[in-house]
Amino acid sequence: MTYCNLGYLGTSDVNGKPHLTPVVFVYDGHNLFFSTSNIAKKHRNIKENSNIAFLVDARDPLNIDNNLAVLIQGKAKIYDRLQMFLHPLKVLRIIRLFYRRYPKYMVEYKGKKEQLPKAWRISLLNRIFIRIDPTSILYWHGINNIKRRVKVNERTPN
Amino acid sequence: MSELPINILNIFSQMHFAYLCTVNAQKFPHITPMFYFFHQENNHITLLSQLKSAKIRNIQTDSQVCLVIDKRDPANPFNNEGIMVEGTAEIMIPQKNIMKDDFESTINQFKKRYPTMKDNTIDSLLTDCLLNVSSSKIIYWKGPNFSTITL
Repeated sequence: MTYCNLGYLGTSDVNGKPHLTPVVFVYDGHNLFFSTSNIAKKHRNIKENSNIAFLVDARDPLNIDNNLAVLIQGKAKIYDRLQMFLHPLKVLRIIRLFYRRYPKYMVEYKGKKEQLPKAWRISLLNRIFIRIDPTSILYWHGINNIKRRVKVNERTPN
Repeated sequence: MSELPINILNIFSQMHFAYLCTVNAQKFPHITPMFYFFHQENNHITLLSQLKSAKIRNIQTDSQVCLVIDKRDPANPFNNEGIMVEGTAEIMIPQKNIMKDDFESTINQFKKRYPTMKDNTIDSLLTDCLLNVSSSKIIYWKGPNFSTITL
């Protein structure tokens, strides 16, 4: 989680049609968060069906025994404008974490703002945060196969 | 069958792993990194799998799948490039809906596609079935620019 920069977010609409997309993410010590546009397909899916899967992995194309991955399945909680208004400190902390974890990305996004579609521009008006509340965590290493499944029962407060 | 643009074909040929998303009966998504083989003649993608796996159980319930293959640049998001494929998956089981010889020749195609892998990597996957993904839509991106191809 600390040295992998991208995760893969799997969502599904109400009809069970899957959608998969790479996302940047941060961990605040309790939960994972990612950011998306409020018109993105993943946001629409999560509004219909909050079940999500999130995969973070380190790949070695030469030796698959070195591959590491964590698959988190859980529920997504949307921090829309109302939630941001209700939890401003939390939102500021998440933003700070993004700046700390992806400084080069943030510089690029700010410097090339005009090249970005509106939905991608860093603004609280069109970006939302989504928190992942895990229900199960599966870890594996290589193919033959250190797998650990952890069931997560605790509910995370807002 | 229409020819895909070169930037999409490059992604298929240059990358090593595909990420497959399936959904179970409770509408819970599941993601797995997988080796893949792209068939340019019909835009199908073959994946190696095991009958006991969660993805196979999911596909038996609902054959809709989504697959991502991407290149990452940790310094510049404008260089991130990838494809998302939407489609349906068919489970190919030897001597049920695929001849044993065809199954083995597909496994050999994988061994040729991944020549730098340790010799026993493909064998150690204990493949007992294949997934044949028919693509219905491909979305290509480079940085913030997206294009969609409906097949």
